Amino acid sequence: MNGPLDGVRVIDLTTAWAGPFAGRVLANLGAEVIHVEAAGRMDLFRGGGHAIDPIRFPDGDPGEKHWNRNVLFNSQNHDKLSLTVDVKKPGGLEVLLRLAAVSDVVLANFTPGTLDRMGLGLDALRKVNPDIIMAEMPAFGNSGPMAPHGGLGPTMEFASGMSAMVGYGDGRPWATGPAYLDPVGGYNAAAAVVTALVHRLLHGEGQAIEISQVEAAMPLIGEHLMAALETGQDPPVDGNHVTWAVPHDCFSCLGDESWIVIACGDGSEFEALTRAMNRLDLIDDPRFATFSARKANEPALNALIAEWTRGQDKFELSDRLQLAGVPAAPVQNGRDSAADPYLAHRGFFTPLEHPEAGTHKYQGLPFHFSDTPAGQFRASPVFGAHTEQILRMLDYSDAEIAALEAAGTTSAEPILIFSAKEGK
Amino acid sequence: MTQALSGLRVLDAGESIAGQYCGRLLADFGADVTLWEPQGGSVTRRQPPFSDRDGSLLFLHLNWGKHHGDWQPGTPAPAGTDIAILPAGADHAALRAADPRLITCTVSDFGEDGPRRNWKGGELVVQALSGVMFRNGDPKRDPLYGVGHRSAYVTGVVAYSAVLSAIFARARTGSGQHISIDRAETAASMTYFSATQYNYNQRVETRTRPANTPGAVLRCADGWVSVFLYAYRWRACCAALGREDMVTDPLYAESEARMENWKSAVAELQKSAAGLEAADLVERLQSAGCPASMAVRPSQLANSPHLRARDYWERAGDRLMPGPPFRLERTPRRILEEGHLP
Repeated sequence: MNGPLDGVRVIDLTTAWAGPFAGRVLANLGAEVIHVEAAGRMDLFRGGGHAIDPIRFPDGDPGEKHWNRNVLFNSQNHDKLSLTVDVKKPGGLEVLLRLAAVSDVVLANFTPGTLDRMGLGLDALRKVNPDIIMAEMPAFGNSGPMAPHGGLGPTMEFASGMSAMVGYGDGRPWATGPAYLDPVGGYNAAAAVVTALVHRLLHGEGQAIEISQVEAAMPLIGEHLMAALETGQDPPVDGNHVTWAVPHDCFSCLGDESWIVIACGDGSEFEALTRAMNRLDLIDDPRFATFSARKANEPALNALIAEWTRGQDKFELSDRLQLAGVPAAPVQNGRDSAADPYLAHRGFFTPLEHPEAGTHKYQGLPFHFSDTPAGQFRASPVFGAHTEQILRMLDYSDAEIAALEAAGTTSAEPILIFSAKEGK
Repeated sequence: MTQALSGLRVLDAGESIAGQYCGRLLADFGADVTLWEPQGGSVTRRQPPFSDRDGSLLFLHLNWGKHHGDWQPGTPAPAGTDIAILPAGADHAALRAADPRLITCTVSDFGEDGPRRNWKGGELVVQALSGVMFRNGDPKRDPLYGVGHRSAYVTGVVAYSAVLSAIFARARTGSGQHISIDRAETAASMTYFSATQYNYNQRVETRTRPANTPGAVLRCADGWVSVFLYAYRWRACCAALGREDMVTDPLYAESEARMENWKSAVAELQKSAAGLEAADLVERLQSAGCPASMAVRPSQLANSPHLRARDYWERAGDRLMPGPPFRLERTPRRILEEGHLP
């Protein structure tokens, strides 16, 4: 049995993370996703924009064709087919329009107007396929004074209201990790596409979708936005502390860069913590006897806990605290996650064989269906791996395929315009 | 007016932020959603922030547009129900036995059968486990978990895509099925590939390692700006900031050298940013083709000219609600004027 979206074909014109993530979700759910690149405009996650960073490659080795071995691209494009075609070259646009005629969804993450300039705007697509679903995911939407603004994960998080709520209380905002809003945008874009697919199924028409990635993220702090609208006040920013739990923080453990988080929402969790610390006396200490007393004396309480966690193993201590009924967890890094027994139980990692990168275990997505299994089954494609196959599916002849290649419209290798020397 | 999900009936008994956000999205796009609450009210009614007049704004936000019904746990779903959102431990098999076309979706932090099935979750715990928190914040200080309940909301989006995909599949197979969605697994799927990268080359990326990407946070006269200076836009960015000297300076001229000296490049750029207003810096860099945004506080978003031009905030009763997460041309989200559950 195939995934739930079996039979759906998606043209994925996206690049970098958020867009390819959306296509990856749809592929995970069983759609056939064709990822489109041009020789002169390969996916940014294949590298090329910056110096080659060894940490991105199997065993630190970029190999002969580094664009096929980059973990950024290879972790986000499982199960997709790779079509390389340049719409600016002879016959390129026709390839994509012929493909659109037999597809269900076109997915793009350009700034507004780009698809039109490529000749792939809504009108052009509807001419070849009236029921097409076209999903665009510009950072700030297709209208409004900021519509032309480009965005990346951290800049969009700044714009969403979130970053101003993350910090140490000194006013400096923090974005979350390298680009937290990219998967947020990707998941929302996939949700939008599935909504439109169900609408077409139930009511018989395709439509255009606009996913402003900033607006897609804002509901994630919706209750705080509503509070600000009502009161004009912003919530306090205070590190890992929150108003409704104390302690609620991370504490150093044995080893470098090693922490445990501990959160006590109510008195019973705090009592369980003091029992685990062998410090039941703290419950009777007037500084910590009630929630409001603990909140007022949070620095003193955290100092006591920090003294206790220091020198302990973050995993063992987390297990012990959870067994005692205290919300706690190790702050895991990539190595920890790769060995995480819970993730292993979920089948989160799948070993996939890639023709140029070798066999590795790849992080997955959280979809689990009883009857129409989702999942990742094929490694991300090498550049242009399926160009010929797709052209044949579209009834191109041998001669036509050769002509496209000769014209540079299709290509098995990218042109590395940004690799060594500065662009203009 | 027909909405995208008009005709679908949903029982939302999720009793969690993730489950209820899934239900909210289904209601937003036209499904008929019945919210079940336990005796004493849903757990989300007791979570902040609180409004003076409406109680928990979290509950209000998650459940706008739903209605109450008379379903009780242990009984079949109301006739005609297409989707049931359930917490861990609910007897989804019994519900499915009563109606094979029903789609059941269990949404929880750690699932029902894994090694952490008895763990207590929540945002701090889940973000710590996910690998995301390890990369957050100042390398000289403790890592930061983030804000709010973001991983729960995203889990709601995941559950939403899952149940609608199952509706799509049901047209082909004729039957419903069971789905299970975990918040801890969703959160782990949102890292910057840290575990996959470890599997590639056994290296752990920390906050102290230079990111090797040309991003920075700059402090302006009146606020903070996140910038990303693409290598191929370096010349234009320097010109926009009046820093032509950095185009020719051998420390920064070529991309590779610039990344090696990125810390000092940022210090130089900071000198130029300090005297500018944040909006001015953003405009200059955006005009030069580089992403840049101010850190906007929620109260500032309420007055954003951009969001106003897009009619983002929507009136619902006597308050404004955040707008839709995505806009469907023919079947836009519609929120009820009076969508507040008593």
